[in-house]
Amino acid sequence: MQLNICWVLCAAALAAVTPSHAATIGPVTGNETLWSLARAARGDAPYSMYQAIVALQQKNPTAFIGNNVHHVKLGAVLELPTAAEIAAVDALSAEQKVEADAVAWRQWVATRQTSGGTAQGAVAVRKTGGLSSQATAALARQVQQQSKAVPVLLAAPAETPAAVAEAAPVSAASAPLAPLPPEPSAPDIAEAPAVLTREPRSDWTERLQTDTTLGLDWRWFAKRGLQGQSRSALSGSALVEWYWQSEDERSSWTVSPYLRWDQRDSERNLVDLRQAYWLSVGDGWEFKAGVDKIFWGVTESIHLVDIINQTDWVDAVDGESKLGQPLLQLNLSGDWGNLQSFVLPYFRERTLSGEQGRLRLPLPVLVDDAVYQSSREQQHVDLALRYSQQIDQIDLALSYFTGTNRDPRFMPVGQGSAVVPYYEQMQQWGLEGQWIVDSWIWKLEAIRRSSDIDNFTAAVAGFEYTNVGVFDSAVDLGWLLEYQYDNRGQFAPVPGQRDLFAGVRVALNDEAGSELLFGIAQDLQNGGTRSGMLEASMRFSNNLRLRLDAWFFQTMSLQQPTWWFRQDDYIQLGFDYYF
Amino acid sequence: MNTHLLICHRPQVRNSWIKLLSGLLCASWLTTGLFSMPVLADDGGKGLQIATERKKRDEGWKDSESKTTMVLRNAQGEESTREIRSISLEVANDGDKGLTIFDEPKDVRGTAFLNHSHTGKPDDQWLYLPSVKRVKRIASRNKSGPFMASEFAYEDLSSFELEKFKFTWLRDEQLNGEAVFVVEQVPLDEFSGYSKSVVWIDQAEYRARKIEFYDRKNALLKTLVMSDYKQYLNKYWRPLKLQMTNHQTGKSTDLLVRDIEFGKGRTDADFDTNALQRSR
Repeated sequence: MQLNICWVLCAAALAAVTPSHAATIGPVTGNETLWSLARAARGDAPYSMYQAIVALQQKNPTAFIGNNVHHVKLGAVLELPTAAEIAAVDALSAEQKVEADAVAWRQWVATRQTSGGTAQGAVAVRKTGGLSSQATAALARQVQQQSKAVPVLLAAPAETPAAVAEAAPVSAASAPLAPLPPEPSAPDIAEAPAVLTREPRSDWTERLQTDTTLGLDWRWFAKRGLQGQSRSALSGSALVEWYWQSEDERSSWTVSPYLRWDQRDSERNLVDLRQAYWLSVGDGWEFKAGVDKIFWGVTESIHLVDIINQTDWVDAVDGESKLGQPLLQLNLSGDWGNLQSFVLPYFRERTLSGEQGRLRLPLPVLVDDAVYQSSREQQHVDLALRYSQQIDQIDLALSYFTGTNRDPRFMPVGQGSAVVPYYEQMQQWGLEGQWIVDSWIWKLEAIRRSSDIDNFTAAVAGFEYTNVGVFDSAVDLGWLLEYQYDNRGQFAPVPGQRDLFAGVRVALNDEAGSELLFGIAQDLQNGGTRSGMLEASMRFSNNLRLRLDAWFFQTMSLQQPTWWFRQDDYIQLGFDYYF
Repeated sequence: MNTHLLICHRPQVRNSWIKLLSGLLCASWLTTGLFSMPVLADDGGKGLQIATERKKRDEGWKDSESKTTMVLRNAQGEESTREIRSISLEVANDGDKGLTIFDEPKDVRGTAFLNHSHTGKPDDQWLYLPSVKRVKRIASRNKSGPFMASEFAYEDLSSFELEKFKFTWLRDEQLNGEAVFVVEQVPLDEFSGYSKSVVWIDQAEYRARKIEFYDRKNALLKTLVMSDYKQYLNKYWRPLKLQMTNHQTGKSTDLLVRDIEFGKGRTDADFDTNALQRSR
């Protein structure tokens, strides 16, 4: 359909071409653009425009200077190739030739610009007059139409030389040109503005990219829940991302809505905007306004420093799934490092399992009755800064956040029959460090967090070591070891206070991209407390990936946060379909 | 290889698990650091001379971009494909910079790989994981790992640098009717997967036409044939087709390169971690 519309436009554009016998075309003038040509090539025609152009040039070798498709002699009358001749041209090499010719043409113009005089240039422009890639395009289009036996009626208003000169491509007319091209003397030459060298992007819709991911997950728990919840749950999700970039690549829009449905737990149902922002980029700066996800940190077992986004906890126990955060972000970068500053005008509440959900607190959580320390509640404006610098094999980052704590505390209500989330105000300093030594990466994250309720320091430090191609195979092994520390000790409302995480990552490097991560976090002060995880996945086809995730939680201690998850060991099987 | 077309990438990324692949890519790290000067062989310096001329003829291209289809073929002839886009920046007196974006398979789409290759120290490498919006730094020491499960190792796709090899001219001969030099290259990086490679370079344009790679046990491992050479900017030759055959496994990989463009005015700012996060 698109192609047919283009042909109508093309026919109109060809008004400058003399009516001719079906087998010839010309004399050529230049009123059309290569843009529309390239667009037509993307339609459902049997031949590409590139093939048509090259076939035309091969059929009329003397009409093109230097065998360059962009150098058409002014006024040339061209013989049209037959459909068979066009078909005989290899599409890929035709495309390459047209592109290469454009590069050569550009070079040639550049040469002339540096050697030519202005006055002479003006003359040259008039003389070589405007027959351009646009003409090439028109010709090719006509050739293509002919080859498809589509009758085209061509009107023929005679063009005056002045009109022809005005139609000259801007790139040629605006620059001083030498009087004559280096090629053998050719009195009248058409020059192409060589716009065919890239994907046609004139139309904004062609710069819009749409990616969709559909997920289907099935969780199966080893036991019934502490509150009698069901052992299995099905859920589905859809993530769409629209991305549009301006032609100069200086600004872009990203919009990414996310939907999730859960069979058992209505608190897992979610409509979210993961991303919806406008980004503008300049020399040494970047500005973003909208909703986005920002990740800070270097370690694997826990993300202490990461603070900008709220956690979509019901989506993934590991806390790596995040809700979109409304923000204004300014990045400045230079040799001195990279400075990110954020204004966060709206707070997102954490997603928490409902009464029918698993991995929940013992009491119902009244998520709609959340209490805030700030009277502005969700409208409290949070601020954040992060400075980072790379010094050879060392990465360092220092960050500061002031605003609403992303981690809720829980307050009992209704004589202790339920709890509500409480979001306090806090300040946090964060430090990230990373040191690459051969196949080792040493990692450190530390935070100091202060609020009216407590002040504490937490850290995680460790390494990742990689064995490539073990036992002469393509298999890579990665070893992870991280120590988690929290100076609140047993009173910390988090699992990692004096815990050691050990993990191994296996990448088969096979065609299916199979990989696996297995890890265990062991509490060093409470021997009976540990948790473990497995993540494995492999590709089924270009569009489909299969995932297998599993978690277990063991503790004998009521003080451990995982006490309430002790019956929630589960396996999750998931399919992701990408299109 | 005469190619800056492709850069370094890391495949099967899905979540973060790839970084593991520690393969190195576009690297040119000399493990001892002692070999910052080209090493002379006992061929009167002719091997180095040829390599120097080959390198010289490929200098000054500034920046380029391209798209590549990889066709992976197993021993039974079954095929699968990958799609990648690459941009490269020439860096004087050091290794080049490259940014590669994966388009297919679709489960890795949006994943991007940034490589700053160096001569004389390890490369700097980062991977961008779009699902968690995380930039991960990667340990880059080992470069012999497979690139996207293909028969190409990361080091096969790295930029050609004189400091990486000891060159020895072996002989002149005819290859497909063309006069070629045959030069042996012994990698100076102890983490290379090869004991040596033998390169057929045409005498007319100093383009690598064929490379045989020998494994650490000195057995013939792979053969790379580069064809469909095309000249850009009236100077730089790039092969549009690279066919790698693994003689030990029977598998092969073709790289089909298209839409090569030069001179888009890229700068260092297009190859930093901010740019990596923006890449699509």
